[in-house]
Amino acid sequence: MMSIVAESITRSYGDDLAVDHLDLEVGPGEIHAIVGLNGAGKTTLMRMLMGMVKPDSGRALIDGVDVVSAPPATWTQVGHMIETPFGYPELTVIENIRAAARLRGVSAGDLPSTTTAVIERFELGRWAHRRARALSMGNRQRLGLACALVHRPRIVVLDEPSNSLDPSGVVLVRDLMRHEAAGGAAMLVSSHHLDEMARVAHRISALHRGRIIGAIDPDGVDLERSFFEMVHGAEVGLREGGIDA
Amino acid sequence: MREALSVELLKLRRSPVAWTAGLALVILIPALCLGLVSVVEGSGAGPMAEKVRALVSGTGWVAYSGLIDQVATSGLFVGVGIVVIWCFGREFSDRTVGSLFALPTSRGTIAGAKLIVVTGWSLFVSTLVVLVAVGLGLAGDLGPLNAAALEELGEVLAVALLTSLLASTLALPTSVGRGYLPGIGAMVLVLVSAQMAVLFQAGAWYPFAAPGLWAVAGSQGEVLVTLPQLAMAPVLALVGAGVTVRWWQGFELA
Repeated sequence: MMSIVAESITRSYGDDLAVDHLDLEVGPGEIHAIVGLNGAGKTTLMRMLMGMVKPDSGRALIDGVDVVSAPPATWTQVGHMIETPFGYPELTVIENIRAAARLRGVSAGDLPSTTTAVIERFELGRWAHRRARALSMGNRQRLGLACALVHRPRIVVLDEPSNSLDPSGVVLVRDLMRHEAAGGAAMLVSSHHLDEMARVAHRISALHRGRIIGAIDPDGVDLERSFFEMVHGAEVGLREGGIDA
Repeated sequence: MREALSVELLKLRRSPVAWTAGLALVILIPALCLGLVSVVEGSGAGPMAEKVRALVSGTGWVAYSGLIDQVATSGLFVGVGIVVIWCFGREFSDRTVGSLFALPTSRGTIAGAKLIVVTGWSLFVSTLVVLVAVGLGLAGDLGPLNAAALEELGEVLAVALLTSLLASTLALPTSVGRGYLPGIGAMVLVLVSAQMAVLFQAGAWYPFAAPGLWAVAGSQGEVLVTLPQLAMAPVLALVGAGVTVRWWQGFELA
């Protein structure tokens, strides 16, 4: 069963410690949400987990394999959307999905059925032959998600998946995440929207200044208050000489 | 590799940049050269005819193909270079590069596929330039194609292919600089430095200047560039391709 693990992972940009000795685990069938303010380190953490950025120290593991040396077979099981959604403006929706599927190891023979399935799943049929440059922001986000998940990965990393989506898109993504996790996928998701994450996540970790500063109970009440109390506590701790995670 | 090739080929087929550059090269280079030869061989008077006459040696097909040699050297480098710069730079400028990580298809393979596709395209366009040039020449009343003319046209094809290969080296500065501007800067630098190398009589040893120098000298009956010197151009293109693939394999997002 596939999992995502970060072991004391650290990354700095000059003097800025973006992620600081962070430990994290996402097990099979689990949706683990990370929430934090802008610049908390969410995107850097996800980039390290996907091998986009090398850690200064520590390790990122996918299915027990260090991402720095992960073979193609490991990446076949991974789908991600971090920052900019996949989508070449000159290609149509259907061409983009086919391109993403090919790069993710879907065979030429499976391409038609895989493409049709994902277009139906993300309700993109109406725009299937429209070029990506002509799509609304919301539909570009849907296209990006469709491309990330076209091969039904067992490891999913999504950065702000509900960005720009209309309410029906938000519900669609929520249902999709639940469905994939129920099927055994390990999902790491980041968001600014605590309430949205509380609806789908099994675990919510609060990230601040590159460290996990606490866990938020998805079934709890007044989640924002809990989050800001953690952030405030971390800032006070920092001023007094160090953050206690 | 097959997967990456099919994706890169699709992107190039849908690219307005590749279509515009390809059509401009295939139509403009032969048409411009035929027009200039007509000016020289026409009434022959006026300041423009005098200026063109300084660039042209011989008459008919020899003058025409000699002129194409000169125009194609820099024209193809710029035209093909723009497509190379677009092909690699767009991943950074359009911010699509992040989607090329964490895939079973490695980034080195994707870069290799880009180079193969764009080089294939440039060789196709180079060949088309020569074929269109022959067609326009026949229609333009330059007389029958004789052995000398065919030799000149063979030279044009060789220069066009070498220049296209050299343009692929722009992939590296575009990638390392992560966008279009570093690639364009490198292209300008190459064009200026090639002129300087010729000016200081070191052009034969400078791979970016050698093909053009060989063609121009050849059409005037001189031998200024030897075969080993000319062979530096494809060697440089190969080395550039290797370094580009290696860079793509190991780079991380900024």
